[in-house]
Amino acid sequence: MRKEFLNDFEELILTLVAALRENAYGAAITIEIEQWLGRKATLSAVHVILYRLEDKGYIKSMVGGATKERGGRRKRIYSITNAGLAVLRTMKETRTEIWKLVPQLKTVSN
Amino acid sequence: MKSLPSCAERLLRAICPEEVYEQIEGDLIEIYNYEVKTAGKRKAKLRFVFACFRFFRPGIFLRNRFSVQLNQGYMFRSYLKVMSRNIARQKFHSAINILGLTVGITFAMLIGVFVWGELQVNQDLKDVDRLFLLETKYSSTEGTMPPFFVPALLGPQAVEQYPAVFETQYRFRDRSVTVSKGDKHFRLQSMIGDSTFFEMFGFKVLYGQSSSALSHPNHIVISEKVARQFFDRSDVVGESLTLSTEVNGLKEYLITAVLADLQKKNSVSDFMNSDAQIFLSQESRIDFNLGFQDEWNTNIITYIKTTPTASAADATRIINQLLSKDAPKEVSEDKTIELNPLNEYYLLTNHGAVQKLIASLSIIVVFIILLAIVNFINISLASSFSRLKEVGVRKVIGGLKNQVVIQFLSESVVLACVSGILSLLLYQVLHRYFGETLGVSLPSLTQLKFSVWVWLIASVVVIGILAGCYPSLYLSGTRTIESLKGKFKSVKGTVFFSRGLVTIQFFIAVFIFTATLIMSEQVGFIMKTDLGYDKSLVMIVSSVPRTWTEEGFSKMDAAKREFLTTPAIKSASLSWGAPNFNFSPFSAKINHAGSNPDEGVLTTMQAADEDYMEVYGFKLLDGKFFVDEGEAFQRNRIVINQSAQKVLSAQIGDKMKIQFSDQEYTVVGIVSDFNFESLHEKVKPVAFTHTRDFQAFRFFSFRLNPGNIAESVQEVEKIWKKVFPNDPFVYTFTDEQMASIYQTEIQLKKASAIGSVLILVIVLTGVLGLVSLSVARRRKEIGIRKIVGATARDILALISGEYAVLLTISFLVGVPSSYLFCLRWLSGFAYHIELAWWMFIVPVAFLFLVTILIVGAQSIKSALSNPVDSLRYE
Repeated sequence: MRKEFLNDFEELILTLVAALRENAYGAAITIEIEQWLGRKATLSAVHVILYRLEDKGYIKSMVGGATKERGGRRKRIYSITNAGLAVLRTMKETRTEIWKLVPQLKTVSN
Repeated sequence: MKSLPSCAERLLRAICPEEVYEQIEGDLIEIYNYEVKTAGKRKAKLRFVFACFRFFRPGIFLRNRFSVQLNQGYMFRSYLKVMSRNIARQKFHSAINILGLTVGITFAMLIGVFVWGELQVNQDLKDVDRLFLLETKYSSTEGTMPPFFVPALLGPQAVEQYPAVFETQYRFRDRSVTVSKGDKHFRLQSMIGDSTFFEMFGFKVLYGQSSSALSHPNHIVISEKVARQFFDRSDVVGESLTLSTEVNGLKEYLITAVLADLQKKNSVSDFMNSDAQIFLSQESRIDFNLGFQDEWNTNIITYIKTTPTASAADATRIINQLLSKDAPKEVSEDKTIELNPLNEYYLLTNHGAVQKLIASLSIIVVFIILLAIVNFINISLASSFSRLKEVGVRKVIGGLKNQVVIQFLSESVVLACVSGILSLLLYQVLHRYFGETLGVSLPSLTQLKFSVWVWLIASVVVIGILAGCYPSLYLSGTRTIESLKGKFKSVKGTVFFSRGLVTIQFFIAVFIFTATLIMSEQVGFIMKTDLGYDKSLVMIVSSVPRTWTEEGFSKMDAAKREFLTTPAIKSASLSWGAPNFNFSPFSAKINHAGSNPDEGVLTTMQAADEDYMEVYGFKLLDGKFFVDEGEAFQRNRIVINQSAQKVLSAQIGDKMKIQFSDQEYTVVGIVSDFNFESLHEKVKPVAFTHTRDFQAFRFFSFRLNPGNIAESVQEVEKIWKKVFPNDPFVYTFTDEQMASIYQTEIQLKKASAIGSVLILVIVLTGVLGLVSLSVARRRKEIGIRKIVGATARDILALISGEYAVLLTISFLVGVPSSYLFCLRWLSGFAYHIELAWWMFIVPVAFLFLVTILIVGAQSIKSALSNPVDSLRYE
């Protein structure tokens, strides 16, 4: 079977879910993206991708606790599954393999 | 939180699915609070609203409205794999299934394409839903004319006086004309009629102008086929053709238009199978001795087109009003006019012969398909035993009930598609042969219309679903644990069900068999029955030059003498009528001279010379056929048939008056009854006048001496070419003519014969498969029975007995129903066979014997086998 494909944003979010562990939910991920990459992510886009990853079986979710700054609304906490971890690993390794093919010079001369 | 805009929140609530709304709202509020800290309250609020609106995207509001299921494609791949393994394991039963479906679908395609073609007749005419053929209905029981003749002024008057109801009309009379160009001569059917022909029916004009094409007496319009016959090209506008007319001799006609080849069947140019190829203007009628067309008491064939707003009922009412208002009393008094819609005229004409044919064939097709489906269901059910464990395992590892249903349905649909593809190949191979058998041409696959393909594919899928429906529901419905244990949930239920299906199969087989047998008996009866004359070896030449003058008659006499010089011809006769050339028959009332003409007897008039009786072999009952041996022609003599003699109570020597003639005629002979028309009709009273009295003739009939017919025909043709160098030689044989009357009956007979053979094959292979499965399942039972003392004969009786009971039940139902059906069918014939008991017993006994033989042959192996083999594993 051909390799499962994730686009870069999906991959980023999947990685963040894995990294944030019990703190991985929509708002937190959006804020993390802003802090790590310095770019604004739309909350709705993040949610759509979380649902999609969940449909594909790479992450699973449970309803977590409510906090004051959320106006008493509960969070949906995501966590990565084994399948998700495997995909992430394959993608990273593939990329490293390809990176190894690049001539390791300091700059490309042109 | 009150500071947050509520409209954004309301939008969010409206678009977000219930189960994710809370988390989304929470996230939004959290980010809002975060932004208040980092970017200020105003900006945060703006961004909050913006973020809310950004949730209006398909990934959110469509979520969980469509369920995004697991990809079923991978499962289908697995189903296909399992199916191909199953087919490979059960080659015999799969072959029966595929064979049955293939045979059924192929036959259905052949018949379906034929029926489709019949249904399409006339549908290409312009505005066919508004076209009507006028027909006369006489209030007295017998009409003086065929129904399609109506008063000539009726059509034009209707259009002129009621333009809101009638748009246009077309009237014509037909003539068979000899057309020549140089040394090419052809006998062609013509239509002589109004110039509205083109705009009314929308026939496609290849060359020339349709509007002015028929505006002049010497104009002629021909079909492309005729153009090619004479000129070997189709652009022939401006060329001329020579027509042999009845009044003005040879006459030049100018070709003004060429029609694209007329669509094969339609009820205008092919009216009553006349296949007209040339079209003349109304003004040409004088050349052909046709009556004035602006009189009420001339008869003509009329088509009328109503306006889009008018209803057929109104049109009928108005046209009858017009008839009784304007027509003279003697024309209108005993008739009403009916409007026959052209879009069903072809199906309903001739006592609905075509419609009956289509209905009967469709029934046979549906039956065959049903039988094939029943076979499929029965064999699937019987062999489902081996699939039960598979279903159990599937369910245990998480297969849903629906998935099992889909699995078995897709199997049967795939099998149906395989059969469908095989049928396409078979159709391509067989369509020509089958078309020849039915006497029609069936299109090949590449010529089929798109809509036919859609039907075809749809019906194949439907057949697949029908066949797979019950087995898949049954298999998926078994309890998982029981199916894993290999137990049938309701053995009794399925056995009853499949026995019922087998009984229905036998019932259909009995019904079709007996009906087919009786139909072929009846068709054989009509073909063989004594028609009162000897139809073998009579050749009819229809291309006689119609010069109805004294000169013409003496030329005919000379020609006759010339013909009699060849030993091939026994006798020859010149006449007006011939068997089944009844397109323009002529009837008149006859009465005793001096009695009231209104009480005359309606009689079919024939005109013939004195040799007619010898050619056709009538029996002379009294008197002579016009003249004694060696006597010369005498005026005003008639010969009548037995029926006429009875109703007229006429004797030899009686003086008779004939309607339309002021002469008195003497009865000089009485001949036995004979039947020149279809056996759907009773023999009518007939009176012969001499062709010289009648002043017209159309046919030469020759009785050939037995011997090499082909040589005799050549011989006659040689003389014909010598005597009539300017006329083609067009002939038929009487028996072929008679066969063409019964075309639909013969088609039905042949198609149902093929159908019943196919039914036999399907039913018997089905039984074969079923028996082999039930024997396999009852191996142990048979073993135990043998151990406790059953003989091989007992075992055979056990298995065949079951089928004997089913057969008996289906016979008890099938025989009476086919009896009733055949009784009705036969009542459509004035002369028909009597139903006899053997017609039912023979097919039933045959079916019984063959079935029992097959069952016996299948079960004898297990009946003779050593019980140890089947029981040693216990």
